[in-house]
Amino acid sequence: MWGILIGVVIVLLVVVIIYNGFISRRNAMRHAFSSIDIQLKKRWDLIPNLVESVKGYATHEKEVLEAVVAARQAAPGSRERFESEEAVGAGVGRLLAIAEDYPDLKAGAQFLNLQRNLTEVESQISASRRAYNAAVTEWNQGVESFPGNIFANAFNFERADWFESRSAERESINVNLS
Amino acid sequence: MKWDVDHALESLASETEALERVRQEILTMRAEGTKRIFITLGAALGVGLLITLLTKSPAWIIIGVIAAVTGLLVINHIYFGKGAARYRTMFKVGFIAKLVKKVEPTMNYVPEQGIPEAVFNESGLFGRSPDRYSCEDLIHGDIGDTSLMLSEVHAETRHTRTDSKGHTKTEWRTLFQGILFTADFHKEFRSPVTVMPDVAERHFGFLGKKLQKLGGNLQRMENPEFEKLFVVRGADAVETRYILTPAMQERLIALRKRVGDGLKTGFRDSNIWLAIPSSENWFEGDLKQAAGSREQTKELIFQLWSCFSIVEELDLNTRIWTKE
Repeated sequence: MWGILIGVVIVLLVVVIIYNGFISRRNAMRHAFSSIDIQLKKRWDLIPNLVESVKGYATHEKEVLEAVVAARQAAPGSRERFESEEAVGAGVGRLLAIAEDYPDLKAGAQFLNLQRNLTEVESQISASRRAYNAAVTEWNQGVESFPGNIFANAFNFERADWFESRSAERESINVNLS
Repeated sequence: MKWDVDHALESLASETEALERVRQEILTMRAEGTKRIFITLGAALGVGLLITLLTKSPAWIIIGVIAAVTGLLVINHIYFGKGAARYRTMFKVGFIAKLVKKVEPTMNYVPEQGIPEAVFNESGLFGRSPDRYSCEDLIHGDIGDTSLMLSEVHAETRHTRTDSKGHTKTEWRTLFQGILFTADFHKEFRSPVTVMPDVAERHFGFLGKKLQKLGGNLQRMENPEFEKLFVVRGADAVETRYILTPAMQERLIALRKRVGDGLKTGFRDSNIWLAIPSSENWFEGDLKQAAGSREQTKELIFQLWSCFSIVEELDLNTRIWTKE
């Protein structure tokens, strides 16, 4: 009788530990995802200033603003949203690169400050994506490996997708800050 | 040019000549001391032996030995101890300090000072505070936009044991010995991050990897080589990756290959700390070598390069983020 009771308690403990492990991994994933969101919001806030700074030097600032609007309208976490964000990132890179051809723009304190802030935000976005991917890796390991896969099926925990940059983002934008 | 040994020796010729004269004086004094040692030994033991033979009392030979040992201690103190210490100090002030200025004019060398114990503790790299702390050879200043400070450090902990008979034995264990380097990091961050040698995984493989989790705040990096060499802990996953970019991971791998597998790195309060273990005594002048010795200067320049090049190796002067 005692043996059965102890066995049941042990099984329950294992279930609780594994379940809690899943919850903490899912929270880490959500936290990392929300960090991407925060940084993207910061980038949105900087873009109107950047567009204002390069106005008169470039004609395609309109495209960037349109991409920002599209990204804001897309549902958080959706594929469309990420695609719009990629277009925003590429557009920002192009606007920053304009300064290379205009020394007076490049030397301006306001532009330099914006450039630093955008570089900072881009680094933070990259770090957030990497943190998200690390959290997804941990989560997927739990979902796919034994005995986690049994619990994953029972509680309907599904594999998550990594954040992968699309071809537009893989093209490096050469911005010389010297 | 700045790391060129011959150029450094040529421009510091007057300093090395002055130091060489001091070194020669000390060596002459030492030769005199050696001569006096033999005379003292011979005289004390000879007289002791003679009186022993004459009086047939063995006590005199013991008195002779005591007199010889006392004489040796006095001669050693007068002719050997002070001279070496004097030359050591003179070499540091008269040559190393100027050599530092030659290779990096914005850096300063203070031989008698070191990184304070409080700064050592702030790094968070050693788990506990030392019970005995000594430091010397402080080098500080700016290289480009990066402020840095480094020194030799020897930190020890006291361990007391009592055996079954109630005898207490105290021993000192080294917590860290080597070069402690701290610099202003090029990015702002709030939560501390440590990058320590991955001892558990190296020794216990898969089990070690699992054990690492017990320490808390474990962060796994994407670079497999980096993961194999280091264990990263940081409370904030995003900030840890903001500091340890893929490029920074590669740079730390390269630095670890250069300085050895004991390298510990800490990031705290927007500063970086590097603990490079070494049992060698750095930034010293050898009395046995000429003051203007090419070999000795080469070694000193190499030591300075080892420390200063960290700024470039870790790309600390790139200031494209919000921290200027």
